[in-house]
Amino acid sequence: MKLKVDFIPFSSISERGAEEKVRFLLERVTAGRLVVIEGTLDPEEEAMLIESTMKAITDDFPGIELCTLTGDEYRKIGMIEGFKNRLMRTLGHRKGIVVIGPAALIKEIRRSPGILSMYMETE
Amino acid sequence: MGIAQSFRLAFYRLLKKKIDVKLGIYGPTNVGKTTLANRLTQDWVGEEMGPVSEIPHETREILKMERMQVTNGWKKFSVDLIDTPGIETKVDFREFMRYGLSEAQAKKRAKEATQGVLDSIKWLANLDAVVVVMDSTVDPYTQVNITILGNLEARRIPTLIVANKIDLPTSSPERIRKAFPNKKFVAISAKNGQNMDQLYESLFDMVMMQ
Repeated sequence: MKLKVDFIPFSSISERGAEEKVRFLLERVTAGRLVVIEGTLDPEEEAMLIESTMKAITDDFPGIELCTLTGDEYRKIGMIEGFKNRLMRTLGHRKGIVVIGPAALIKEIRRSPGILSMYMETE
Repeated sequence: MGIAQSFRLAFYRLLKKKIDVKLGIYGPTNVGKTTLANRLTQDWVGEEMGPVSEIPHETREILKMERMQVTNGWKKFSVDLIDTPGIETKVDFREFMRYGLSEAQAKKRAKEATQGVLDSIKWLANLDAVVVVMDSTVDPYTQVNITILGNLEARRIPTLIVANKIDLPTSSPERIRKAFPNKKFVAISAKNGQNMDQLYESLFDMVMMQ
């Protein structure tokens, strides 16, 4: 089985509104592609992506596997750092990566601090 | 309880202000959300909210129990408890067939489950405080947990993480505490009622923060 992977720099999606961004990503995943995005999505965008996924589910498309890695996993964030992170996000700086793939293909994505492991199953 | 919280509580008592809270129970599937909801409503009003099952997505509609008068010592609140369907990024009808459901039953359950996820996400906008339930026998650092907590934080909704199923031998609530070190946390067994006193104390403190 062939797998196409789309690597998307943050600049390619940063100008899009949340709905357009979600549609752009989901179109690729429903077509069977694995999408790797530079940067992260807002929590609201993640929720919107889950909502859109639920509406797109069919017998052949059971949903997505989604994983965000920022490098802040398992760290206690102080008040000043938390404020700084929120400010950076507001200004458009989003460190990290997001991986989204079709659940029919990506069986599991696991995180450990600083590492993202993906388990695929192909027929 | 912090100084600000104590002042706020004293202020409410002084004004005899009634505190009404819409409390949501969130989490992925099969973490024991409805078992916890049943434990809470049994303790508070002597009734259960909904059925529980080992088949994922047993709760596929929002369950509500409204205007429960709840006291803890001299603290008193009116609580609307909202038990939500589990949030997931995938719903595959084939998974339900492994539990003995027919294809037609499994497809119907999957359709209802996807609507349940949509309803759960919609309800985030209507809550005053939320309990996020996690299964302490499995890795808690999942995208669903991260997305739920991120959305609650973005909406500034007071949140308490409940590490459930500590009655099981493979339970490791400490893993949840380490995964989300910035969040308030209580380890319980909703099934046998272990540590429910700690949960009530934390719930009441959280309600005062809203």
